[in-house]
Amino acid sequence: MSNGTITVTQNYAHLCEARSGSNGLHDLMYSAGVESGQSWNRGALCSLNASGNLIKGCSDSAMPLFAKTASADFDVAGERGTFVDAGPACFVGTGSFELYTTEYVTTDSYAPNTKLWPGTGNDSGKVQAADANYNDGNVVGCVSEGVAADPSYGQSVLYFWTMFIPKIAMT
Amino acid sequence: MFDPETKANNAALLAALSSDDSSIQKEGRKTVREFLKIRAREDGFLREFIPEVPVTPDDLTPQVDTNRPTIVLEKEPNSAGASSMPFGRVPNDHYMDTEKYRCMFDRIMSFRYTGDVALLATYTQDLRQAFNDLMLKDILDEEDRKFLVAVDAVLGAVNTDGTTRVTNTGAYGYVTVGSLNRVSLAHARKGLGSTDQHLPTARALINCNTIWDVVALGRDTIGGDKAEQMFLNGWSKTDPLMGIEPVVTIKTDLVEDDIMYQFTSPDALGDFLVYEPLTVWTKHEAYMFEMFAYETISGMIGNDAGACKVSFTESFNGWRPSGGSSS
Repeated sequence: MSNGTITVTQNYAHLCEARSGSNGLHDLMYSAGVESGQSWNRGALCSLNASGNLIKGCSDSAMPLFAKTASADFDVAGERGTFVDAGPACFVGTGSFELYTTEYVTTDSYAPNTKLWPGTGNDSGKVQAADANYNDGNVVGCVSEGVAADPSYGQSVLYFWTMFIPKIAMT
Repeated sequence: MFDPETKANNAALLAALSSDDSSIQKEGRKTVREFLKIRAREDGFLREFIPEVPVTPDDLTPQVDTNRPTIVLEKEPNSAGASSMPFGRVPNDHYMDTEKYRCMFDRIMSFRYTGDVALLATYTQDLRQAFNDLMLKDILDEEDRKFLVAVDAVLGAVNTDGTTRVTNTGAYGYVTVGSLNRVSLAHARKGLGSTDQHLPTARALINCNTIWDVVALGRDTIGGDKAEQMFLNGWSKTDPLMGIEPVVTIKTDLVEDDIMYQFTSPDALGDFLVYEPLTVWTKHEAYMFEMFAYETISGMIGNDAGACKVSFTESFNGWRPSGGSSS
């Protein structure tokens, strides 16, 4: 007989919020449609594709967009017949924010001032620590405090300032 | 050149919005809000088909895995039927259950309009009308757009087998019926009745261009003096069309030419819930002001069989897939 086997995902299990820099109703935010077949958790690093739709992950030169809204949140996706069709809301990477997110590669080290790159492969949608030659990739953030336990619910979050320095294309 | 009443209204509104007294500022907002609220009942066509139902936090159904406002509603249960039995036989069992669905909310917002208060004084037009047209029209247009996007998603592609709508109701949701004439209009009226649910048609939605194809129908098609009346007066809002009153919209970007939607009564069609009614937000700092309007709503086309759509083009496809009655 099984007992206690149902796992419930709490709302705060995945998130991306501003610890500082938010200006209330004047935050630099962006919304767009979700590209077909794409899905991500709240807090994911996203970007726009050539069609102007949101995709999980960020290429070498795309503007980083940090998703405040998951692709399947009830205010952007609904059951069949729903009127809901708003595009997910994202913090724009050039905004002056200090964000905290659950969506980071947990096996990397995040000392203060570590630059952040977009994650790749299975880590697409997350941020990861950049190499020492950080211009070899798209710099999407700079670590502020680093990894810490969220003061409310204790999940691990990464504190960082948003940045955007596209990869330098060498010819 | 300057309409005295307009100038007085502008001056009063400017004074209210510019006031350092928050209670006076609130009155300014209330003036705009009251004006917008009245227009909301008259504009937009969504509320013609599904009246709004205000909801409060007490009506929300809390969810464990999200803090998004949600309301869980139930559909009418379906019974398993009855059959003839011989004496001594006991009835078969069937568990009682019914389908539930969730109404999700999102927020509709106008653009935020900003400006220097001093520049408003140079306007000669009625500012209240300008705010109304700018913000309310945009919000109601967005309501109507979302409504038809949801309806089209439920109805599926034109003349297409294998859609969810066909599976759920036994009939297509969207068919061609041929160019608009008496015969094609009659074919259109079979739409909701061709489903397994047999819901009656209550209203229709057609645009202001397509309605003129109805007006163009001659006496031999319409019969009686109606043809003459329409020739002289055009289409009247209260004129029924094949037993139903169509809503004629000027929003040709939402309802294309040669298209007609039909809807059953609201209690069998879906839901339109308003959590935060249309609200105007204003802010005034020194000489700069900003304002925008928003509302928080939820809409749901909960019944596939509650709507159908026709295109007055090509030829009549039939309402049911091959093998079912259709014409």
